[in-house]
Amino acid sequence: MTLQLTIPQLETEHLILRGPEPADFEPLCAFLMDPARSWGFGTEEDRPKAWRWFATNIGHWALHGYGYFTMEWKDTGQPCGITGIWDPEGWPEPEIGWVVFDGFEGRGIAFEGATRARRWAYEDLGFTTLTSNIVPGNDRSVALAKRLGAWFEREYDNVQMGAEQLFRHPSPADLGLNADSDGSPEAYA
Amino acid sequence: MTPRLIDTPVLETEQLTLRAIGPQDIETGVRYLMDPRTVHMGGPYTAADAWDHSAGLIGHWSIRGFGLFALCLKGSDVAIGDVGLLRPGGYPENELGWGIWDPAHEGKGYAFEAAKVIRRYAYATFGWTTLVSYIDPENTRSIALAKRLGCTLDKDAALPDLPDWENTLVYRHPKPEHV
Repeated sequence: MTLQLTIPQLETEHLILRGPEPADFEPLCAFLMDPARSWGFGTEEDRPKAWRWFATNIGHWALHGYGYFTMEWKDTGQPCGITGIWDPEGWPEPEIGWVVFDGFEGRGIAFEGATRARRWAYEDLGFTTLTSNIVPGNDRSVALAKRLGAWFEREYDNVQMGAEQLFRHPSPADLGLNADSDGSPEAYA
Repeated sequence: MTPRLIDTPVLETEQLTLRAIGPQDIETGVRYLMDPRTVHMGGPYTAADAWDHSAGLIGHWSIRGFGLFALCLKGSDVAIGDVGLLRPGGYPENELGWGIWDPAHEGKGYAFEAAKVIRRYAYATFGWTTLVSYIDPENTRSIALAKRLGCTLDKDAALPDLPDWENTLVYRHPKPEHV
């Protein structure tokens, strides 16, 4: 038998978005265990819990056909963050998320990666809408959501994170993405 | 896009087909993890945590190249339990773990049958020379199964570096030459 993980490799000017590899665990673990950086994403208190999140993300890909990509900084090949589409049990609807690792901030990585992941979700997966769930007070993330064209829609109680603000992204049509004449996104391989 | 394919073995026992747990098991797996019977293995889980945990078990196969097998009665693809090889973060060594998901299938020796085959598979395939099973001291059924599998209590074994595992018993399996 085979377990199939269909994870595309996407490219932007500075980034490669690809499936998680075992070597991505250490930089991800450092992020997840650093409350100053990961409080808005979900801090893990120890390495075993961070490992479980890493494994859950791979399973999320197997279950949904989408999940968090590792973002690789093209120039050096280093993992510099994660972005992708997330919809585990209990989520109100699929969201696009982003995280930039220590030392890679200020380069526009989250914007560049999230823009590409969103386009992939709209064009290749056929999503017609997307959200981003942001913990109140995470001003950097709110600023990025707005820069991505998203707007505040409502506050709700997230099953893992508690109170969160749900931001709604522009639709494929709003973004002028490959929508055919009946308005549905064109899927292509 | 290039699918990444992870080859997973299919093993046969007298009454069961054993295959890697996968996306097809998510509903039954989640239902089991939410059942109070999982009290001795970290449960019962909330629906959200059960889903995350089940997804992580699929990820385990991808990361480690081994993991839990779904126990399916011959001719069926519905999992009635899981038995398999675990090495998540925090484990000092490889574990052989088990659980019967459907209480109607408890007490029929399925876990014993599967564990014997998977243990032999693990020793033969990976060259491992030992395996343990981590068991809650109150989980008398599991302790009985470990003993039936020839395990002995190993009081010197390192415990997984996990919170609330201080009282966990480590049952060590017989070496490859004895199975």
